[in-house]
Amino acid sequence: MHSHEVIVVGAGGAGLRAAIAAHEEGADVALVTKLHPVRSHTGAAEGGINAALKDEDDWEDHAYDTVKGSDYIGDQDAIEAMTEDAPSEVVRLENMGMAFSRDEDGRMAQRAFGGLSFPRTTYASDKTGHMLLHTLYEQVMKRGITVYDEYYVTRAVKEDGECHGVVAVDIQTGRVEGFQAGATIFATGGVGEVFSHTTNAVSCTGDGMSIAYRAGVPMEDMEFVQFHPTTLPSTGILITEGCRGEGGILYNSEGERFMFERGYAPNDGELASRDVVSRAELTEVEEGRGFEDGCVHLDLTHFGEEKIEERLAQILELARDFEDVDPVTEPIPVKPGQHYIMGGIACDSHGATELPGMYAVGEAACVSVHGANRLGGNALLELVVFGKRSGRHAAENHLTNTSKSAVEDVVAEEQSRVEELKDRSGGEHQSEIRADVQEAMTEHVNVFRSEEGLEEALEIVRDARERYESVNVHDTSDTFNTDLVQALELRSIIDCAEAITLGALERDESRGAHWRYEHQERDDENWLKHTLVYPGDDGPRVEYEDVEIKKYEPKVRSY
Amino acid sequence: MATTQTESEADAATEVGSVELEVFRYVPEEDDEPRFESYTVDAEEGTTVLDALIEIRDTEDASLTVRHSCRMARCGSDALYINGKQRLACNTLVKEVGEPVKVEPLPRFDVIRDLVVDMEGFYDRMEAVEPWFQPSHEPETGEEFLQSPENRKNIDTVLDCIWCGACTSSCSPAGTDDRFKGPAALAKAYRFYKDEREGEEARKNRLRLLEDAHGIYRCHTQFNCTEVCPKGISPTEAIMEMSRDATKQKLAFWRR
Ligand SMILES: Cc1cc2nc3c(=O)[nH]c(=O)nc-3n(C[C@H](O)[C@H](O)[C@H](O)COP(=O)(O)OP(=O)(O)OC[C@H]3O[C@@H](n4cnc5c(N)ncnc54)[C@H](O)[C@@H]3O)c2cc1C
Ligand code: FES
Repeated sequence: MHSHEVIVVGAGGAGLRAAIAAHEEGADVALVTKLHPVRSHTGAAEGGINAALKDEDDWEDHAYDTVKGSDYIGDQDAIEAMTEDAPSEVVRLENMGMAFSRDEDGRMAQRAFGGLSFPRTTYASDKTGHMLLHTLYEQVMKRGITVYDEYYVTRAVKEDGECHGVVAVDIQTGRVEGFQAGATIFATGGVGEVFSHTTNAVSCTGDGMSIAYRAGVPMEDMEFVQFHPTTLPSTGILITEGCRGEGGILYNSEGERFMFERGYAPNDGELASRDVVSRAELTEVEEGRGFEDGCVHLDLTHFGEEKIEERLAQILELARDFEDVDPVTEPIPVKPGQHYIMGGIACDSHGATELPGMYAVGEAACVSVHGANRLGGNALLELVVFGKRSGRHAAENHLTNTSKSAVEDVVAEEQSRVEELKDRSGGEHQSEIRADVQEAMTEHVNVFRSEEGLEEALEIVRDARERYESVNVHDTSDTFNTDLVQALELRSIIDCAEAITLGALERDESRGAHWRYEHQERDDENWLKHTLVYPGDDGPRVEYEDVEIKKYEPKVRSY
Repeated sequence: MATTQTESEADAATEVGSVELEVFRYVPEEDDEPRFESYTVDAEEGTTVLDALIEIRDTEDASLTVRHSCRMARCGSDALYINGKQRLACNTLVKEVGEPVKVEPLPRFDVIRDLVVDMEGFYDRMEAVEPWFQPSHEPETGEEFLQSPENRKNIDTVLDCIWCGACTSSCSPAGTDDRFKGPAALAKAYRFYKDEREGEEARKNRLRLLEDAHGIYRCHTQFNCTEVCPKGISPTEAIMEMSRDATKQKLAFWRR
């Protein structure tokens, strides 16, 4: 049994930043993570992190861009908190040694990104996430913060309406261990594995959302899933928006610059918000102006090799290695792919959830700053701003009366769940059920959604839940049993898939990334509200909550 | 890495056909000794070794174990020994390495199970070089350190290290001396050593830390690490530069 004042589950950018903040407040903090920290998917972030750093820029413009990007369903108090803190938090990263790209005058370089009224995306070549993740982990090592790596957290310990810690499987030995804590921060990342075509890592399985949900904390706004307009068709690997920020052009098969020429975004063109560009691409493809595999073309050939190598080196490597295309001389085929979830564990702007002692931060959380559509460069920002805030808050307010025996009880229960899973015979293998869910979600809960498709998806997901009752794990070993881990992850995938689909079915309007065939307009009268999905006795229960509106009244959103 | 192909090749079927893999297997509770298991998978032009291993795991043998996560050569989880060379499984095409594809865990690391090795020693080596920023002075609140674009460019390649361990696995001195910091850690040290935001004092301290019996002078300049690095980093050159500087510093001291 381990015991710490603060436990952070997950060691991507959000978890690491939270742990550093808690440590700075003097708390005894530890990280528990299923991957070693540097393997976290934050490392894959490419384009940059937003902050109004320049004298000519203003954090309030950044706030407005974010509100507009969110299609008016982001909470404006939280958005202001984030954009106001952005400059100091980004400078803090620099002060920790993060290697941002530099302008001639030696200051951090910034570039244009979609949906932003000023080029305020601060970048480190096209490897911003990698630099950020490694820098934060360096600071964790420097401070000697304990890291339990390759521990898979399976459940939160809830007693008397409070969170007393978590229980995890040590992946290397198969042992189930308890972690008693006065505050537990979930920083477990996104849900890409709910879909079959995604830019996310295979480890993005929505575990934190599912664990919090099963402890009674709602998942908020799960129907808002971002599909990035430029992913490689064969693998889903991301081609950063930075390409368009630097001047990359999208063409259809008729050689038209369709974002302008077909009127999707007469002002901003390729740099319209992601939801707008993804819909435009698929409309082009559906109307017969696409290329093979449902793609359009992203053209960088006018940049020249030097510029690509300097600013988009990773894109060069990824396109060459994974799509066999050379961006210096030929256009890159791209199509929309699942990329990010705006929704997550419902929490306030200190990361605190409804359950005392439980916090959420990063992509796993819904504060909500992204509303119905996240702007590129705002996710990394969310990690550091709310990472700091939640770490601090948890350090100052952690519970002091947690119960060791409550943790031990859950250890015993999880131990028998795991044993039972491994001993079971018959039933379907976890990989089959997983594949069915992923395919159904990609087919029906994608960029364009219809009532019929959503109902079908919901049926498949609910059927998967029944099949899961007798799911089979073939591998019986205690040592590094990834078959078991995948079976445990599958339950999270099903929980998240159900919340996403249900939220999407109920929301009969189109807003941001959520587009409904039968209701193609935004409906502020009925739908200016957040979806909250709670666990109920007979499946999920949906409730709604008003959006926090301060300065910016909703108006028509065009780019 | 995908090789460029002529158009006629590209037009030909993308099917490469069935490919045989020989995979190192070892489950401590079941096997006294490691063994090799043969599998056959259907591969296409773009099938990577990782794709093939996942295919085997999902359809044939769920107990086959390999660390992986990002699938895009970024997380550094899946450095393996593929047909006699350290490579990332996720960016190595099946068709490029020749048949049968022999897949083994990283040499010079202890095997935990199948293709999964114990990385703890590697992480300890990384930590031993104090791999965190040691700036020239405490900045004022809100003050950013300035860095010239040229200086930033100089460290661009070493900054790309993904801690996969391929280099350390290829390095013979690292194999015989557990305390030798090894190529990855020394390249990491170089990343800070060359960063002009760290002052002269920090630079001297870094060299002092790297000069012990298990530091820079252990390198045999065999360039194995440089050859296998999936990110094109040359730890050897970084180590050579620091060794030269350290020697110069010593000479300067004796001349005084
Ligand atoms: C390819 C790509 C490019 C992107 N580019 C940008 C960009 O340019 N700018 C931007 O702002 N945003 C970008 N994003 C979005 C942004 O990178 C992510 O939203 C963000 O990094 C998520 O960070 P995180 O810390 O919340 O989660 P992650 O980095 O995914 O970390 C999750 C952590 O949780 C742990 N974990 C998960 N489940 C468990 C469990 N059950 N038990 C224990 N540990 C667990 C994992 O081990 C991991 O350490 C990009 C995203 C992708 C996929
Ligand atoms: S799976 Fe991440 S580097 Fe290969």
